[in-house]
Amino acid sequence: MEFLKDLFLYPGFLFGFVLGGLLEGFKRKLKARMQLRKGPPVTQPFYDLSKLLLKNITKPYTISSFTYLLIPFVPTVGLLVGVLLMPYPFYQEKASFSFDLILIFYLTELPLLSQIIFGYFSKSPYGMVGAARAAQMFFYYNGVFIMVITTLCLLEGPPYSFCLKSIAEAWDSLDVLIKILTIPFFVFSVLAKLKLNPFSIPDAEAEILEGPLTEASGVALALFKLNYLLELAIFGSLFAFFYLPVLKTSPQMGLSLILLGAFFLFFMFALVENFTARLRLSQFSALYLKFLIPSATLILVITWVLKTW
Amino acid sequence: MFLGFSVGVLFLGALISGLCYRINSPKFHGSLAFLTSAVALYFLNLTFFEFLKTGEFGWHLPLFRWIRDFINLELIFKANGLNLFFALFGAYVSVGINLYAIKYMTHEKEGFGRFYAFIQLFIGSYLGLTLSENLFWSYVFFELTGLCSYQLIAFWYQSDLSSFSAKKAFLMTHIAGYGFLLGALVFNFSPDPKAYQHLILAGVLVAVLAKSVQWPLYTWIPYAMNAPTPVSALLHAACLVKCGVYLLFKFYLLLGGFPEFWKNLLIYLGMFSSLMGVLFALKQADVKKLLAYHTVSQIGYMVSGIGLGTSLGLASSLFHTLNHAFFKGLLFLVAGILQQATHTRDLSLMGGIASKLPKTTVLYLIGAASISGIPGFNGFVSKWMFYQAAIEANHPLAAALGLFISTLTTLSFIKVLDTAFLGKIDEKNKQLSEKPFYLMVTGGIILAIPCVVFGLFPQIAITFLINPALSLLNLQGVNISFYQLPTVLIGALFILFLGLGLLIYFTWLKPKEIIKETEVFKGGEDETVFNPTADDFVADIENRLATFYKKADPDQYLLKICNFIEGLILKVYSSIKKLEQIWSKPC
Repeated sequence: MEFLKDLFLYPGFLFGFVLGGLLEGFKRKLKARMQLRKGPPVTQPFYDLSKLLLKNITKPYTISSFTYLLIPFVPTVGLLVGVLLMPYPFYQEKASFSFDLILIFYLTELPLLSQIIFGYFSKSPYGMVGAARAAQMFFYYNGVFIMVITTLCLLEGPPYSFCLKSIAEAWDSLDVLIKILTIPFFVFSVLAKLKLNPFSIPDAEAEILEGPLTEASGVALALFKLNYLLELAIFGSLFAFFYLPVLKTSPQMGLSLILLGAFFLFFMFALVENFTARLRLSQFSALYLKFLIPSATLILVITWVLKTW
Repeated sequence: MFLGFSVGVLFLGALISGLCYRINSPKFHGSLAFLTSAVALYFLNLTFFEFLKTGEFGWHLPLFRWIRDFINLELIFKANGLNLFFALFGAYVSVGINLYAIKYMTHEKEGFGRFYAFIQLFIGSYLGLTLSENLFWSYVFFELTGLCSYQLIAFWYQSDLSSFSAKKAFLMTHIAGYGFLLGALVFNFSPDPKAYQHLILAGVLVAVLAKSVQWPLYTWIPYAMNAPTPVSALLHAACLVKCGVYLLFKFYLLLGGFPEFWKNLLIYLGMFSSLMGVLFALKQADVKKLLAYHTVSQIGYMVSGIGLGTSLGLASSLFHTLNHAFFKGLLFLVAGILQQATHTRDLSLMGGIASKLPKTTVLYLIGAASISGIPGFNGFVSKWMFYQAAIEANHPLAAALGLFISTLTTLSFIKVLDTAFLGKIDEKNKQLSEKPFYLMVTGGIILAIPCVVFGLFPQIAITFLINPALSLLNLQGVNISFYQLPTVLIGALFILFLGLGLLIYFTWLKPKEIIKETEVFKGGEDETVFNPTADDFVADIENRLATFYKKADPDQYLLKICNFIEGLILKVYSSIKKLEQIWSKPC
């Protein structure tokens, strides 16, 4: 019973879904306000999702309807497991396994992989181009993201580990300095992971409609959107675990810090989205390969040297 | 006794195939090879159960006794944790691949006796190498595997490319193999091998680099893909390329560990090779070459894991060796089916064949998910162990590189999935049927089962196969408990949700007929422009790394070194000739 409560209420499905939806609604509202528009209500993502769930599915001929729904469904399960692997207050005290960052990393890759597969599976020309673009972006931003999480893993220890809880508990002065240094890299890699401007290259509406999801509709599209909301919840929470003393305070305060951290991250995203235009893939790759990956690697090496000697 | 039988039956099978070469039947020779490999596996299983009950034991054949005072040339097979680990997975994989080969080889017209004689000789030699306790015989078996590889790559010896590829593979592995001979001789004849450990390790490492396709001596493996696919699967994915990894473990055992310098060298050499391999794999449009480069990449994890020198590091290396044999063998078998079905290895000429070959697609998905390290499959567990071991041993760069390489591997296999299996189907592939390939699919299933089983229940492999090997190496056994890695939780959740999803699909979505069908929206665009094939799937990455691809191929530098040596020899030769002329002149 306890397990089902964890799975469906907190920190599982309901918490992830509500947090993700509010973050998306908040971002949209904020973006609109910054552009002097009124914008949709904060709860708009929930209305969108409920409407999609009730709509008919219109899929292309010749493709299997079962696979059409299975492709977005698998990452939904993966992301729910991902949410359960995070040391949320009131939950981490009773969970007995290690909060493994590698597992979270792999599970958060599933939504994008499913979109890349869906783009080709749907046989849509726009889907295929979008999928190829998303696949190439995957190469670059993961380089930065991996360097960031490995750097953060060096904060607590030795012995070092990929345990998210250890990172969240590392708050020495040197740790704080290193954490601050990694923030821009985390933000850049998550922006690209979530395909937000200026990195909305795979979904470039004006050129290739919705990219990999051009042919997604009804429940399938709803599942993709749900995955997106769960991703927002995970990355928002990760930001809070990495950069705020969530586990160093009382559980109530910790939970408030998670919400604060997540909303702050999406405030930054809204700001960046408003100030930038979409980059071309070649500009994106140049930025990552020439600047971000080498710099993130340098920070990892410096941290390693500082921590070893 | 069973130890001797397990190797002997394969040599006997090779002899029968060789002697009966006039029987031009793929089924006769194929069934014989399948039978001998199954018998070898059965004997090895009996040995393994005996080992679990009684501990280490050996079998020896007294040979060349008259020379014993000078050198011990007795054939000694030993059943211990390490030897049985390598022998067992080799035998298991060979059963699946031999079953697959029965159907695969029916496309050929001749050469069955030769082919299966060398296949069986190879498996026998591989088992001989892994079971042998005497380094002299280890070297003999090591070279025999290379010889079989040469013969099997040159199966279509009339083709210049096959012939060249075979020579290249043989020369590179054979010349480097002298390093092993040097290491073995120094170890045998020196009163204190520890004093010469640097010399021994240098020799062994050269042999390992060539045999286990590590930088810079991996360049023969893309050429070796000109062999029939069962050869690529058995030799160049599962067994031959593991001989080098086995040697590293063997010398780790003999020397009681490696010095710090060699450990660090192995860690970063392994990761560097792995990065090279995956970057080159990414740009391949030839499915077998792509897999070949991934062999370079995945073996990098094993070499690096040994270098870490901790229990978890060596366990990750052993586990990845085991997993790689299954998933890479499986992926090669899938590649063989694709090749026979579409008559091409070029991914750009495939596309949309998932609907025509659904079972093959499922096998591919299992293999690809395993090698990419998707949670729930075996590759994830061994890679997870590697990252954890690397960060614990204070090698964060190795851990980060390992993770990065794993994402590139995923990208590479997504490329194959999208461009070969999904997307638009080619006109010529519209009549494809999977029926003729059922026997080959069965061979693939044999290799797919452990990918899933060891992914969900890694404890089985760790307890029975890996921990005995670790204990032989004087290392503590590892315990991947459910709490550290909640694989059972993940499995249970996946099953729960998938069940729920299926229930919703079959009780609500399907009966309500809310799924309508329509044409794909094209917006009047030219489809040829919006159709990225394998050639342009990662075009931006290829453009961005163009200089790297141009300069990083070690073959160009190896060729320069060879030319320099050739020039030197020619100079010495002409100088000798001149001297001879001077001396022969009458005074």
